[in-house]
Amino acid sequence: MNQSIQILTHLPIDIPGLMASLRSPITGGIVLFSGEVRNINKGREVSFLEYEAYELMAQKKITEIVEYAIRKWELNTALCVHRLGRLEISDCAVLVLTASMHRAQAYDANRFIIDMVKREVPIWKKEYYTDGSFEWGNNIDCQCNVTAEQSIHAHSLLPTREDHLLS
Amino acid sequence: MDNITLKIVFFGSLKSYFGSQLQMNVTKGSNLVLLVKQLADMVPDSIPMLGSCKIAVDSELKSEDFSIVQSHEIAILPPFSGG
Repeated sequence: MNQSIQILTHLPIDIPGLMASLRSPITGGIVLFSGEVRNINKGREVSFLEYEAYELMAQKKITEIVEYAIRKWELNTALCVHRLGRLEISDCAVLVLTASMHRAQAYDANRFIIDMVKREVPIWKKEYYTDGSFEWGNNIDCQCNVTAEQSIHAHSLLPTREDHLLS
Repeated sequence: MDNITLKIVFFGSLKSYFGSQLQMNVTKGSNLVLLVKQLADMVPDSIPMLGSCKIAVDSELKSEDFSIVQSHEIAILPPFSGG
């Protein structure tokens, strides 16, 4: 991953600029995933979101995930940027770009990266609702598509523990 | 017994119980389970949330038997919700 890219940012994510930064004569396809702020979650009307991160660890984890995906799918390049702070409806919360010679690798790697970011990176979302209440998010029940094989392979490079305390 | 002073940092919903950070003394050689039990004793209402947390020591996830022998930054990490 390009080291000059800011992985965590409080500013709006520059999607066209980052997309342009990945273009290369050797690339046949770029897959773009933008995770956006939805106005309804679990039947409740969302007003806005706030994201926070354990920043040093989150940057390190995202870098490890992206570098692993580049190696596994032999991508030309890839990046992932996550927003922090207050986000409004339809803002881009997370951007994943994967560039490869052929589209299959770019699609597979992109899905892997976003699933791993949701599962493995210390970032938290606080949802504020239009009725004035709020709730912290939880990705435990998210529909991640990381297969057992991918997860095992990733874990050999991304040391994590599933241990839960007091359990 | 030697005591070690740790910086404990909290995120997400745990901040409503402990604030963003606190300093805590633990006995040298104690493990992360004992540390979490100390936190649970401080704020019993936090026990259900503490039970679903992972712990990072100096930004690296560690298992519950990790032995604390020097000063560290310990992060208590509720279930993630990025993306």
